[in-house]
Amino acid sequence: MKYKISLLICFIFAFGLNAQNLTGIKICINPGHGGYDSDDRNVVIAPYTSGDPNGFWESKSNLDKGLQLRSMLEAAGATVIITRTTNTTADDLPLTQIVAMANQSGVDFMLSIHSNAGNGVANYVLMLYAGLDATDTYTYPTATPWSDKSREISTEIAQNLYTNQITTWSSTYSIRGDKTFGRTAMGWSDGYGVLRGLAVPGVISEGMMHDYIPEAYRLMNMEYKWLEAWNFFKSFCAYYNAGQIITGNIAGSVRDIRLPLETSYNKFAGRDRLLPLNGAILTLVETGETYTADQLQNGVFVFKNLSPGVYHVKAEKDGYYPQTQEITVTANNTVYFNFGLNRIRNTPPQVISYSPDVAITDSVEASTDIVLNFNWDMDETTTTPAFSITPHVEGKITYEDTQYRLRFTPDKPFEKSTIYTVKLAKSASHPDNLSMTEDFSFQFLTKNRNRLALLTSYPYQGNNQVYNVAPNFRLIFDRKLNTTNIQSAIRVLDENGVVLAKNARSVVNNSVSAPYGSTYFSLSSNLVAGKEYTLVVDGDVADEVGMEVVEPIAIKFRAANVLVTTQPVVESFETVSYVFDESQSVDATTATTTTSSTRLFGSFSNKFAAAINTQAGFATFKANSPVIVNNQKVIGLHVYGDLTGNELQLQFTAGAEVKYVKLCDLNFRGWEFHEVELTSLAPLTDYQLTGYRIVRKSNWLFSANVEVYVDNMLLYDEMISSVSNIADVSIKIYPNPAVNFVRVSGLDTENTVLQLYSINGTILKEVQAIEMNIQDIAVGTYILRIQYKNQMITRPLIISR
Amino acid sequence: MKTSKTWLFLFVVVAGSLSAQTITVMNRFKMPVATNAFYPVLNQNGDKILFTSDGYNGLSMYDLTTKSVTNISDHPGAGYEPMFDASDSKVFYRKTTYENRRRMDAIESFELVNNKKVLMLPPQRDLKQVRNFHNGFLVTADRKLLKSTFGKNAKALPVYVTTQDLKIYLYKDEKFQILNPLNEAESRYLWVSLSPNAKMILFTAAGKGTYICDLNGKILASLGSLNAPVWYDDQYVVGMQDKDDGQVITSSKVIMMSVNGKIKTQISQADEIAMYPTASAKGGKIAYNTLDGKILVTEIEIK
Repeated sequence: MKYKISLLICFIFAFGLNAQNLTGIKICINPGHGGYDSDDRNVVIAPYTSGDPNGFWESKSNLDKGLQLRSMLEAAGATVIITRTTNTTADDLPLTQIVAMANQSGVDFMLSIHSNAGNGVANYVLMLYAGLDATDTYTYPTATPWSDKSREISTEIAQNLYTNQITTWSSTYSIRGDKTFGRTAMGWSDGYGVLRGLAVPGVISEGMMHDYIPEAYRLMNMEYKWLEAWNFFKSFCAYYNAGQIITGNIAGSVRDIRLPLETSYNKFAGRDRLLPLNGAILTLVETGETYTADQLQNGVFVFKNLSPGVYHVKAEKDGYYPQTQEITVTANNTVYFNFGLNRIRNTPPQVISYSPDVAITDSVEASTDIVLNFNWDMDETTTTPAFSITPHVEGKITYEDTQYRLRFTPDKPFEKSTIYTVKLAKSASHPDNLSMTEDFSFQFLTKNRNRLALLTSYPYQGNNQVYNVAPNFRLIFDRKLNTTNIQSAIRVLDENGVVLAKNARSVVNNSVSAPYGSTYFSLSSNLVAGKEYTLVVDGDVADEVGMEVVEPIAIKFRAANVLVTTQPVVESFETVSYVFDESQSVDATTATTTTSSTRLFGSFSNKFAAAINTQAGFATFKANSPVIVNNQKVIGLHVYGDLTGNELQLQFTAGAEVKYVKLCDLNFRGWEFHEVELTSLAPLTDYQLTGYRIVRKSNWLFSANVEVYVDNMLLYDEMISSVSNIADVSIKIYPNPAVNFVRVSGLDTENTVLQLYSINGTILKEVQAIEMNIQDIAVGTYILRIQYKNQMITRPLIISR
Repeated sequence: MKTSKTWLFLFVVVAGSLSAQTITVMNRFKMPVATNAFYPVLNQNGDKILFTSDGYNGLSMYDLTTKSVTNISDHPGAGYEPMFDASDSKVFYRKTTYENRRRMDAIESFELVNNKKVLMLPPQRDLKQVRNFHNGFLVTADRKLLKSTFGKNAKALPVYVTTQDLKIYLYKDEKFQILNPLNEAESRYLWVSLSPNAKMILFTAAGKGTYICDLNGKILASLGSLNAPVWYDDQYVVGMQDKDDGQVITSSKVIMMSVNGKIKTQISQADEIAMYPTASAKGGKIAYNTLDGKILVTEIEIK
């Protein structure tokens, strides 16, 4: 009864006001754009796909506003010229026709209705009226008539649009002359085409930003568009002194008071981040009128054309406590009220599922997250402190699915082969302050692996002769890579830390056989010989189950010009100079020698290819024309390595005597120059260089397939390299790959220091001995540095288990 | 009905005879004025051009014979659809004002001989389509047909065509009738004009194209896209084919077209954004403005 008395007072008050009268006023409404074409501003919002006419189109939104405004104006006696009433491609009129419609109809004002785009990060009213900013003194090619009148009515419109409190504005409104704006913001000489040649005052109204996605959802609501039209109408009534609108409106939105709207698009702080309550029912108690919020994530409601007075609006939604709000409506105004409803949570919270949920006898990846799913949305302030994991792990707790899911993400992978106990104490509660009835806990066991391991790379740490021309970078990991981030997470830096661009077409990922992973690439430009570079692998490079490298890797190397041209060439490899000798090979098949255009000199190199099927197997390639040498000589060879870790040896023959001299380890990919003194040959004896031998050094998968190129072999008297190396021909590192121990032969314990380095140069272990215990070292590729007296040698060491 | 059928027959015969004709631009020159100039209007003889600003502020006249410029008015709106009288001795133009924020248009005359200005019509609401009549003009204002002449004139009013709220209004036989040549509820008619022989109506339907119809609204020809069309004579029209990107004009060319649409000649040059042509058949001239405010005058020959 109280409500009805209030309503009666409303009606009495309403009839005391003068109704608006726009008789004789003529307005041109131009709903901007037209049709569902590429230039009609389709903003893709779920559930609609790109190009769906049912989704958001600025052309459609503008038309909806325009048609509703036409109805209001005509009801008030105005004459309306609307430039289109449908939304087809044919409605996308030439600008000159739109201008002509306004001019030839003799209208008092032209309103071009639009919404704007602000890269999804802005939302404000922009009025672009026909004319200049009041402060603009620039001389334009043509003058604009009625600039002041256009500015005056644009200001009225902007102020009214800005009263909208359903939306979230990123800043206040802006009112600009189209010529000033066009010149300063768009680089145009003479303003917007739809205002050019206009003989009457006019404006382009950019009422909001439709690519701010919450606004696009609101613009799908017809009443929200009605509200904008009503504000236009109100502006015209005021500008033309046509009397006040005798009724008012109630508008707002309905959202959950606390649950977030979990979508990835940008949302300003405040109500746009809360869950809109689709389908909520609003009831205007005094009249019984109801409004059902739509299903499009906006929660918008509007009660239109209400007589002034006191009203009560009741908001209801299944599962929520209803809320009623008293609202006083005044004539000529819209009263905004945004509801925040609270859920009904009348049972205690409990965990309804979790992961990893496996038998304790099974094991899970050490990179896994811990997830708890609840029957209610949970209160963060009680749930987060109730969570624990034993042994303790540092990590981050986040909430998903509108707080129904707790996720614990460890900062680093869990320890290997470890049983963890996860517990959620019963103190965890939901927002209605009901706690769990009992503690919840479970256990899981991790697998024996908690890092993605880099098995080998080129360049390797400390490599100082990486050919500066088109080097090919290769990294092989123990598991197939997740390639999402490796374009930037694996990179090459110069001395100044500048990232060198990869040649996009050169990138090949995961080309090695499973379970291994790899990435190969070249750079867009050559390196500078003599300069130091760093190959970086970020800690978040991960495999396909999310296991990360964790500790970042930095491999320092130096570029060099590896072409040696200062010594006599005894073999140029322009023809096939060496052929496979099966009789001198062991477990080598499908071996070939061919000429190849992968070369450093002349037209060709020689390519040695073979499959060496067992560890210690080897392939020998016999010389067609042996070169005569002795132990006073040095042999230098340009070698294109294959990153197998195998060993390239030279075969020397003197009568029945056959000797093998190691030239280099094939632990590189690309051209390098290697030389060796032949002092291990017998003195005063002529030897023939009768062949090359490639010896497989390990059972590592990638050692089997040999592909080595050689070019220009040199014979001379003094070593070119000044690097002091151990005469390492007699040194053996074994086993390699190693499991628990690695040993060095040919040296004595007293004068030998072994240092184990990670591939990024960190020293991990050091012993004065010829044997090192590596049981505590993880699987991967390392550098073993051997110091013997005043000399030093480094070798790659693979640890596998 | 008999008259209509006869005219339709003549239209077909005349249009058919056009197919062998060619249009040649014999000469082209820029109107040498210091300011940016838009919306040219040629007089009947083709020796004078009215021009204004892009926003129709002010009105000036260039005399092609004396090569002199006469300032007629500085008033806002004066440049919107001005016209020469039937004898080319006066200019009628608007004076737009706003009263209580409502647009009002008056019409003044300007005598070329002595620069004398006379207020012909006091401020009116909704003033449309000034057309020559005797030594004055016909115009509609607030949906009423008004005539204004020097001295009394008892002549019967001729056929007159105008638009009201983008509908075609034809005054004939002492009454207005609404024509809807495309017979569509939502058609919006623009740039409506009567042919020199007062037998045909040229118009553009927004979003649909440009057409010629007879006085009964029967479509005689569809000319395709041709904005701001004007009559050259009873056999040819001139208009513009403009394009935009939704924000600014990106290209436009001026096209002369036979009334049957079969002869089509580009009058403007390829590197111009040419708009809003005006024509004088008697002077053999077509003039137009470019987007950046130059007026080009062409002399054409039809053989």
